[in-house]
Amino acid sequence: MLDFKDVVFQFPEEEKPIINHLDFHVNRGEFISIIGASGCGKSTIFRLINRLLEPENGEILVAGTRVAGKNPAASGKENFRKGTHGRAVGNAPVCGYMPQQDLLFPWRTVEENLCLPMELQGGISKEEQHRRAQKALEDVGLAGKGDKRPSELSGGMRQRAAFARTLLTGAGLLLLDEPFSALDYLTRIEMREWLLEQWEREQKTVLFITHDVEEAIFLSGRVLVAERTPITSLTSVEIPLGLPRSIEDLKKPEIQDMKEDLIGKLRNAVIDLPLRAEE
Amino acid sequence: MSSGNTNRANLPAAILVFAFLMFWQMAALGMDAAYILPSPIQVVQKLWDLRGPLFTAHLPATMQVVAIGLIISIVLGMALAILMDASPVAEKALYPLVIASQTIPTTALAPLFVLWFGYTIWSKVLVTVLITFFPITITVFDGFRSVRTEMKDLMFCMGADTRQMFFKLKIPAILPYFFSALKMAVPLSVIGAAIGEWLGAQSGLGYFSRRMMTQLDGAGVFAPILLLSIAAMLLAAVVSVIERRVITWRNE
Ligand SMILES: Nc1ncnc2c1ncn2[C@@H]1O[C@H](COP(=O)(O)OP(=O)(O)OP(=O)(O)O)[C@@H](O)[C@H]1O
Ligand SMILES: [Mg+2]
Repeated sequence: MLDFKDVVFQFPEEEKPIINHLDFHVNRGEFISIIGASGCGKSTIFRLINRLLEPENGEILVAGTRVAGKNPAASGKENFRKGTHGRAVGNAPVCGYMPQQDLLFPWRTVEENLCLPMELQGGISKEEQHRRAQKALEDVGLAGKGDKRPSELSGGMRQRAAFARTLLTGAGLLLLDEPFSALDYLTRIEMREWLLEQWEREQKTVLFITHDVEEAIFLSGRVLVAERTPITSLTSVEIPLGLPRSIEDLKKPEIQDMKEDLIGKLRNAVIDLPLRAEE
Repeated sequence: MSSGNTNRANLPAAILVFAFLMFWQMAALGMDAAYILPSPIQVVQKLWDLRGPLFTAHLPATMQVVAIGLIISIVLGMALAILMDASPVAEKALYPLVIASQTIPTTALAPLFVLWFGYTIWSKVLVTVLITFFPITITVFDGFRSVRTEMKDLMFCMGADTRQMFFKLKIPAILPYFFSALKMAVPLSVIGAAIGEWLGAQSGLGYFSRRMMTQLDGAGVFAPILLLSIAAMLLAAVVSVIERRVITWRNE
């Protein structure tokens, strides 16, 4: 579903590339978490897939289509002006992106927010948009909240709405960048289980960035660990847990060991990091 | 926010205004020189006596200047703000000029406009536009700058093109700024119109006030000014009402 091939990226302001000759592959239907020290470049990986940033070298394929890399059909900027940016054939964006903040537009009602990706794609009638939005609201557990303003919802509900909006892009690959990190602990726990249910139902490929090792283990089939900066490789760790999962599963000794191991990897990574002025 | 509450909150202000009017009335009575300081009652009396010409000729003339001036300022201000938002080059070229234009003493230039445009409406409109376009441009441009990068990125990832980015994100995001701009611009446009008329006109409240001055009619000078103030306040109130209708969301 997603391929990074020899991808190099460097911010112009920096001396060294932050991502160097990175290769990795994600299969269709996988739920994958990416963990790594703060500032190691996890969000940068998402921004590359989204074409918000252009790699210097290598190529990125989503569902077999090259979204970025050497001699892409047209550069992101040009596509953007033409309005074909990020859209595969059939007019749906290649990936749905959900950032840490919900970024629901305050001037739109919840339902109107969900309709936004469909409005942008065009060619979907108002009735059909309404129908799909209502269905999505029901699916994510927000039935009847469509006419509310985002500010009238709780943090957890807003993340659910933002997730529904991401689903309605119609993309097969979902990029979730720490979507629950702004929530309180209990809501987070609840949202984890909720997200797993959503993933099982929707049959999407999910890439999930988190700081929380336990969260990564609970959610994913596979965890990708960024052990060093610049990111030259992602260490893949399989999670030996079936579905459905419960909080209890996390207490198993082998899972506890795995958690310690992953935390150890991250801590070493922190020590490897060159000292940064701030952040 | 019930109206009863607002009324109670405004009570101290109302008392202060009343006290001020009382003081003015006493001072005017004490001075007994209506050509310098007419009493409030005399002003209101005058307004009533002159209601014919004031309301049928001069108020409409001034409001016409205000309306045309405001429309031009809004179009010009929005256009400049949109241009500066769309193009960094335009921003670099225009922003300093817009700021610098504020150091021009508009009122001092006004006689020039009378020279160029004579006693036509355009000399007054020009004064109005020069005073009002600036707050509109700057405030709306601030609005564009306040649009969150994360929201733009999100729109981009959902495949929005430039036009969709503009109408579905930027325009709604700047609306609150647009209304603040308008609320600033409305009183300024009335001031601009009055100054323009004061300098050279054949009708309008500013012109009328000046004519009364040459006749040493103190109350006659005040009456159109009172009317101007009321008109400005009403216009500002109308803008507020529209704003409350349009902006139904709370900005984070
Ligand atoms: N626009 C930019 N220009 C220059 N450097 C940048 C820019 N954006 C991010 N960086 C740098 O790149 C590094 C990686 O940023 P990124 O946001 O990908 O990290 P992250 O792994 O997502 O961190 P976090 O876990 O804190 O979200 C950071 O150290 C940051 O300083
Ligand atoms: Mg990040």
